[in-house]
Amino acid sequence: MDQTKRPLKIPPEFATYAEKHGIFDMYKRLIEQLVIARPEDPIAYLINQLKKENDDVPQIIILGPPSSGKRSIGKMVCGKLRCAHLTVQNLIDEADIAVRDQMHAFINEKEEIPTAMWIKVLSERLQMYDTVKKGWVLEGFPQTRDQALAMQEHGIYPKHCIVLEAPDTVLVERAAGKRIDTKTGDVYHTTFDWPGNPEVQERLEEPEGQSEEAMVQRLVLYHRHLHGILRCFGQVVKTVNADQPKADVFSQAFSFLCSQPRSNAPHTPRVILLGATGSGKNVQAALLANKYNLVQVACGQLIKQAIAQETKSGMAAKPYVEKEMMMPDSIVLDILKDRLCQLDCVTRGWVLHGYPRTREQAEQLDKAGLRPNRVFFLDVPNDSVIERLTLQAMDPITGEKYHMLYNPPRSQEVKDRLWRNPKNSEENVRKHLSQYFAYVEELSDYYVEGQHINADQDPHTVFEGLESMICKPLPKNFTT
Amino acid sequence: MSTQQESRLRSEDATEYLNKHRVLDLFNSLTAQLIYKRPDDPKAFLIETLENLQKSRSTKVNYPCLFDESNIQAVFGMLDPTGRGFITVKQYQEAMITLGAKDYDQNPHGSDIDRINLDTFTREAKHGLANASATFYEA
Repeated sequence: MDQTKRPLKIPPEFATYAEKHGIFDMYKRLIEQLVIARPEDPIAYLINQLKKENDDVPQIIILGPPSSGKRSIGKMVCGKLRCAHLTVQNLIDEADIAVRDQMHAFINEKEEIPTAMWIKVLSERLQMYDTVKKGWVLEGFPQTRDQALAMQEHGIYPKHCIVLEAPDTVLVERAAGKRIDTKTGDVYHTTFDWPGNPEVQERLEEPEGQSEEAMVQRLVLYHRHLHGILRCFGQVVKTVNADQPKADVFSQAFSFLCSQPRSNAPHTPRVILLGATGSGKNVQAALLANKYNLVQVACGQLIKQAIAQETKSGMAAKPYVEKEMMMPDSIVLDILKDRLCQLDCVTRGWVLHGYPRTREQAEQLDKAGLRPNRVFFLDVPNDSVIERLTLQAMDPITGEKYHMLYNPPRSQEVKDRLWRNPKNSEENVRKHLSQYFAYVEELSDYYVEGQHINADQDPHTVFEGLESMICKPLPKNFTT
Repeated sequence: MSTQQESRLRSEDATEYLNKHRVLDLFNSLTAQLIYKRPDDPKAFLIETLENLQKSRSTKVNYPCLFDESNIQAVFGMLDPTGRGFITVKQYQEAMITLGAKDYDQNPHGSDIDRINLDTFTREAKHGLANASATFYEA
């Protein structure tokens, strides 16, 4: 081909490369920071930013009415993610002496500390080494919409914002029993959360301002401002019911922190659906392909196609299919590779099912440069599969499919002429199931980032689950 | 209303800043190099490229660019397959667009007789590419 006539195009491999290294998100962050800081020398600034490498660190805000458990949850989150814990109190304490004195003066006069001063203290604190390198959890701040807006203006924006919520009566009651450890600042409660350690018990003190009247006033103030604050944070907010045991609140909050906000980065889904026979791989693949314009690649069909078209690898596969023998991996891989490397698959993305069946096949697929970016296991109990398949039948005249339980034929006439696919005999299905379960464990070992989904539900419910996991970035794994 | 006006001004400020320092050009050229080289550690690579750019900004030579002189000559060779030693003004302009050169001389030496020779072409292309790669604000 005439090279000069070739249209200028970004090579498809670059899309994979950019996705792997998160180039788009990195650019977005860098330009964002540039626009906010507007340094005189952008090049030096960019070098500096790139050297910091702080894209992955948690940046969290925890809000909630007084006594909703902000402190306890904040401490637990910090302990788990090993990041800095910023509270209103320690922000003041750790500020510069001059600023601190000013702030204390405001507090003593019972006046509000001006927003500008808060922002100054906060942005200085956020430029310190620990918050930059390890991330931060900011608790109980911002308290007004003004503060939230000013934070945004200075480029302080959380990746996650957790809002604890509980009925006011519960909070008032809780406040009455609140005790604070004077040494560590931990919060305990006389009935619900009493420390086991007698040493700690001795140190406990009742905090000030927990009377019912004071609480009601604080709650009114909180509710007045909350709505405006939440409007600033939009999509990163998650409300957690705080009127439950501490561990439950934490686990809900933590699962939210593991999820990542949707990014605008262009991404071509390369999906593998794994599941036993009858788990709905075909249906889901068709739905996904339809909605997201992906190329649906069914491995078995592809092999049949190759044989029918008498391609080279098709001819190699033919004797195995005729004799119903296992095909060597290399032949299957060749056929797959031919299909997945075609332009439509590369540009639109694909959804593959029926392959890989074993760990080796999965490894070979990766080696061929066809690494999937989403892997789903459709989990269905065996009994459901058997029920789904063995009761299936087809009308040979109209070609319509029926299910004896869920979609029975209307008339006796149709019922009498129904055919059942010999493939769907119970014996056969059980054989397929045991084949699948022999390998599913090693596959799920190999695809660490694979996500399991309960496929024993309505197809559209399953589909919605799949959709959400494809659209959102992969959840983070903090344990590693 | 006042906040709306304010935010509009702010976005204008931002655009002005980005244009003044040629940030978008800078990112374009960084992306071009990333696509071409596809390094294993893009971050380290970007830092290195930016540092090179910083150096060349002070020395005013060796701007990081994907094309060198041999590429420029190859382009000329493609446009002049019979070896006449010159190309037309139209070919010259198309070649400059293809190379991605910036602020080059629209009517270089020889354009009046529609003949541009290799020397002129190389000089202008180098100049234009340097302009395109000098992605920073020059006072």
